[in-house]
Amino acid sequence: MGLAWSAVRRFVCRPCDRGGFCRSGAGLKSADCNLVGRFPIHSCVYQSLLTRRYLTSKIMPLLAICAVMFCSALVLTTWSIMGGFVVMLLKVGREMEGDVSIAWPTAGFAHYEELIKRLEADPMVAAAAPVIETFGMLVLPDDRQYGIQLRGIDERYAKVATYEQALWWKPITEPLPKDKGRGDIRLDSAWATDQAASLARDPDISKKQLQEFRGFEEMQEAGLTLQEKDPITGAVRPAVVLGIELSGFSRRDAAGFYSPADVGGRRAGTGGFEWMSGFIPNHEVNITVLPLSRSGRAVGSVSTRLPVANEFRTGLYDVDKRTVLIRLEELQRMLNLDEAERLENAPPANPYDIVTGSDGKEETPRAGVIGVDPARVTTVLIKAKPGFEPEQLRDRALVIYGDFAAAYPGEVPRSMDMERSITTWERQQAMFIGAVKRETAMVLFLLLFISFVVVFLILAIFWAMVSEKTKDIGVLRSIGASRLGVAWLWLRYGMSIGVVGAILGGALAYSVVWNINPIHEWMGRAMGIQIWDPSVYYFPEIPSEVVPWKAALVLSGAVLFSVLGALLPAVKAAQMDPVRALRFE
Amino acid sequence: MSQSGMTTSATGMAASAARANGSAANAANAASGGAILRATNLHKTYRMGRVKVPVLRGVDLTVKRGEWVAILGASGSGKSTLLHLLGGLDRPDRQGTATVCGKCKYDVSALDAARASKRIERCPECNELLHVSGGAVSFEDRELAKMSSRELDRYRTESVGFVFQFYHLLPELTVMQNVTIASMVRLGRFGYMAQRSKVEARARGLLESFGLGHRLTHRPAELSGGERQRVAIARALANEPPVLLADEPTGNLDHATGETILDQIAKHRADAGLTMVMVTHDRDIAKRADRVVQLTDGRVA
Repeated sequence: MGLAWSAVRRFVCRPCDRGGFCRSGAGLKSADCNLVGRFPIHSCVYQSLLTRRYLTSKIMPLLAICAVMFCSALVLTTWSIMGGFVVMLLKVGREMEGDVSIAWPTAGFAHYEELIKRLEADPMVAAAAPVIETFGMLVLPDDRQYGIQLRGIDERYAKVATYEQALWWKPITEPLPKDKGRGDIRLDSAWATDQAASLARDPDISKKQLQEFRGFEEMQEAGLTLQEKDPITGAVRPAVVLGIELSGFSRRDAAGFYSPADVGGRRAGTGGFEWMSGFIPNHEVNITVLPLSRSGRAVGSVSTRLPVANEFRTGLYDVDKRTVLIRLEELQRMLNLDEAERLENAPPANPYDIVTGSDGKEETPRAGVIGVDPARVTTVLIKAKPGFEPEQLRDRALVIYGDFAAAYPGEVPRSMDMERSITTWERQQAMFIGAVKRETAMVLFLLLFISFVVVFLILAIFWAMVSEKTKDIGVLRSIGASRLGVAWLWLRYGMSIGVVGAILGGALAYSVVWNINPIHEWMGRAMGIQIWDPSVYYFPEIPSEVVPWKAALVLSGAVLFSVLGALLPAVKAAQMDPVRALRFE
Repeated sequence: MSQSGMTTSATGMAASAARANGSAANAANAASGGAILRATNLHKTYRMGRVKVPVLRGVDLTVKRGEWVAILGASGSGKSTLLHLLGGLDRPDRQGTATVCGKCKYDVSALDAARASKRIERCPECNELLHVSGGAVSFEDRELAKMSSRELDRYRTESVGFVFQFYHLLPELTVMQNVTIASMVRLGRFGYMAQRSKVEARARGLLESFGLGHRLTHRPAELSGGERQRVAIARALANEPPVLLADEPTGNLDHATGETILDQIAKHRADAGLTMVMVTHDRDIAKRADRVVQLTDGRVA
């Protein structure tokens, strides 16, 4: 080691001031005085030695290390969680909404297939999908009712959003990293059929109910297509997929896995007791929507009963708690957004008139069909190809929509009206994300301010230690240690406390961030403390992120604070008069 | 003060070089008239609050190479202060204090204590300015006052070794580390790493010669007073300095232990040709020295 350093290190022979390069590791032998040259005495082994000894033989530096550790862990954990919140919000939003959305709520816009075709022809666009967004009412099997966000989608939705991953009930072969106990029921492919077999002996359970038990593969397929085959008739019919927090049937455990609730049964309409599965994909739900006219007025309500094909989990609590996905065509039908004939404006004067047709038959007079109103959707979601940012894609989408609007004048909203409706998830959430970022900055500033206490803590500890070690400082000066060398000893000592404290703080923060949800669950169980409320904080689990540069910044700051704290005592030690130091009692 | 053709940076290690190179030693001796340490008209005043307390009042002292000088004096006579000045731990006053007026020979020192504690600018008798230039300490004809702080550090590292009455060992370090720390300071990081085995062999040899070969890994708290002082002496000798400055090295020990330690110091002095200045208030100890200098009230008696 000495050789490697010495080979490149230039130094000066002290007695004769002759410079040279050491090649042997033994130092330079000057031709003038034949003495071995040495390096400057500021960086010396005695500083390392004393730093090590002071660190391990005193309680005060251990207290300082603890202070640095807790402060750095506090800042790092807070930053990780609050940063994770924003990152999670952006990630989930993009996963559900794609990169850019073109939206014209309520009335929707026609010719969307043409728009999608134009969009997908662009090299910047990976995929586009039609969507209908509306509000509705959900009636669950146990008669609970909720106002919901209804989203009509088709198979193309999976190309712009990570819908396939979001579907919860599907077969998985490998447990998730956090599932150390393999408690996820999806790992057992035969779980559903086993349930059915065990319930088959129960006389209260009807054959139809047993037939509703499907394997995870079937559930996944049904979830993706939002269609389900009737177990009795074999007919394919539209289905819905519920957000996993919506029904309350799927219970989340501490590790974040879901399992069916033990619902037991319900009062049957006939007055008796009816067994009821706690697994929501075995049930049907009632959906009610209010079709609106182009002016936004309700034109009646439409209800339909649909089977639950699956559940989805985005990780965004608000979405998982309020959203129901439904097959696009079905929702178009319910909202009168499907393709329809356009009739003459003037109906016959008397609808009870009888007229004779061209074929000589009598028939009721009716308005003439003058055209076809194409199907409409409220939103088109677009996903960018890799390498393109959402903002780039938005600019491109504005141009494409401009051309599209020009091609269908009067039939689709004008491009100038769509300026604000063609947007990214970040733009939609800009106010909220900005508020979270500002809050993060403010909290970090406050924590930084609090952490500044470390400087004074180390200053106080070091001040006391320098006083205690006054005689040692006198001894060091008497054997030739320079003022700078003594100052460096204390600065180095402060730096060591900072480095050790920062490393321990980093490890502590990492452990806390990695296990924040189990810790939170434990606090809830053991102490009744439930800080994280998913309905307030959007996510069912506490989000977090570990960003190396943030960790490096916080830990470097901890070291800097420690060195700052040691600065004044180091100056005091360096300026100490050696004679007074040696006489110090 | 003649520089005698020596380079300014040569003083630090010249004595060590002298032992290694006889001709260089002869040259140095010839240049300095055999004196390795010279103190001229040293004054030192300490300030105790608003009161100035003169400790040294014009001390002259010359120590020849290889000589053992005992400085004898009562407590408060300025012995330790003189030793600190010789060792470069402290600096003498830049301006001395006149004892007699240069013009009318009026004895200024005879003034009452209150006036004597203040610097008297003019003679109360003839109003002549009582300017006396400050004294100086020279090592091998080079004034310590003219050395930079770095050169002074180097002087303390290489040219002198201190032994204190109360040992002043570093309590966190082992016996071995207490001795080698002087070489760590002298050699720097890379120098020490390159010469570590040599340094440790030297330290081990010194400690064994003091009968502490079995105590190398012990801490100072585990040693007796005599053992601690022997470790302190080994530390002072670790860098092979030409001058040993001992401040009552046996003052804190019983007579028998003190005698043993003095015997060991004397043996090392003889073996290495050390120059030694020893401060003591014990006349019996002082008798061992080649020369005794009596210090009374800050002056050489």
